[in-house]
Amino acid sequence: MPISKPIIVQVAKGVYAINEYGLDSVFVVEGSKSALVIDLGIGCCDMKSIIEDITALSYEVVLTHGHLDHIGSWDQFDRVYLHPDDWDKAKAVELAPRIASGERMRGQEGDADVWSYSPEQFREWKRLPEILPLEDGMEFDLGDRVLHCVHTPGHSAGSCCIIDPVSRILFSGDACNVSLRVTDCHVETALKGLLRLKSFEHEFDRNFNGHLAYASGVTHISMPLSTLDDCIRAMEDILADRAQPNVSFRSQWADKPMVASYICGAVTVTYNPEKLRKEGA
Amino acid sequence: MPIRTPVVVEIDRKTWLVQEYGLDCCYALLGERSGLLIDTGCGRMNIKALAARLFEGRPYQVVLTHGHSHHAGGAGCFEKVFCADTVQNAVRDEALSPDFIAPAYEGEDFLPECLPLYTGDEFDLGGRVVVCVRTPGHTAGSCSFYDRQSGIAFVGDACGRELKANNAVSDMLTGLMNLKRMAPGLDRLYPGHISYTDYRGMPASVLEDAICACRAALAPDGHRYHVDGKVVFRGVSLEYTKKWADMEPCSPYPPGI
Repeated sequence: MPISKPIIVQVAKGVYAINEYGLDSVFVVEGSKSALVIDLGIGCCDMKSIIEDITALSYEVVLTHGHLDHIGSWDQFDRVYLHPDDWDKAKAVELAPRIASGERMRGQEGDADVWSYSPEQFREWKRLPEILPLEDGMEFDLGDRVLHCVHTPGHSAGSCCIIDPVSRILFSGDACNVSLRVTDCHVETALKGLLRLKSFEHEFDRNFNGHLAYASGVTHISMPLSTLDDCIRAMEDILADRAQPNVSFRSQWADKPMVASYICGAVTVTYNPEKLRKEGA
Repeated sequence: MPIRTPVVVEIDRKTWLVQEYGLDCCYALLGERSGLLIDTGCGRMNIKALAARLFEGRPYQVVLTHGHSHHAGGAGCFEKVFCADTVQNAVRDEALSPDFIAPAYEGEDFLPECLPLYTGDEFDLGGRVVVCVRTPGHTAGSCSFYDRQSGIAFVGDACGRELKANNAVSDMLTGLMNLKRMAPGLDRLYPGHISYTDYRGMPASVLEDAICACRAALAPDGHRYHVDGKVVFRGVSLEYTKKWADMEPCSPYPPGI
């Protein structure tokens, strides 16, 4: 039998990951007084019920970025935090691309029949939540556990990471992983964000990205610890013209005309060779 | 079955659960110097190769929560294991469906050297100590392993929401109380079998409830807690027979008690 409901994993004391059919991951972090939900998936399950089955505490919701596979269930909530640079893109997301994105991911990284879900499960949004600004440096005090936000533009202009110094986990969304896409931003901008993230590296020793057990992969493990350094090194190579991109191709994912892909250590960075530095920077 | 490989799940820092096709699960814990493999599955997966990958090539020891072939089936991969039960040979266990058992190791009849386990035995992995507690009941030699770093107790089939006493209930009670005493920072319990979709483990309250269920089974008025022939205390049900409730505790208990 294929797996027909999201997988829930406890990855540390008071920290839970919800794997929504291999399409994305949602995290719930509990403090002594309240909880924080990080991301809201693609919206093909009743995420609110799952979250409230995990925690009885009151909670806030932060979205690491505004892409369709991280905001999908936001219609179930009254308010969310999202970096303003991603507001417009997030509000413009429609149902059809969400379904198409799910179908594209199905069968990648493994076998197509691991998960059982249908496009009919994707909910069309009847309402949007109140969107509050998520800013660099913002803290979320859950009681005996204070998480904070680091703005790391690159994957999207408003991408943010959340750090929990108690569990020593970095929740990196799509901003720092072994298959990093920075086609929406200049490489130089992405590098600045990751160098700022590195200044907090004493606070974490695990990196959970927004796609635990991506697609049909069934291995639920964190990113290699070298991921941040490899991403930084890759971008430094790209900007210093030391990188020899392994492939250059037309993207099937985005409307960008051309992307290049460079492997460095455990990481593959995909970027737009025409978007290296911001003009005038 | 669409899932064709063991499922590896990170349940804490340097702590992995290995789900063997829904049949059972093993656990791998890595310290600064060495690793500890808790249980070996049915023998359907190549647990040795998987352990080597998780332990990044570092040395490791193998302990078994008990000797049943669902947990000791892969023990034939190893030269020696720690186990307080007689290790069952999975290949010869007629209770296991042959469809499940396809030993991934050579020498089907090979059984490893078996080293004893006692309450209080410590496995020092380097910056991380795992303590053994004898928790009999499911089998006479059932053991649990408490990891002080993560606050997780790996209990095999010795503690859970559905318990069955195959030995003296009084021994089960003593073992579970010892586990509670020796695991002051207990956060979660992880069992020897787990759902494909929920890897949260069990809250520490399950241990409290199991202790209460054992006490109820032994109490003169324990029938108050009986439901369908089992003792039910909050989230835990304990199945037992009068023989096991009346049985005197084993004495003397193994060293360490």
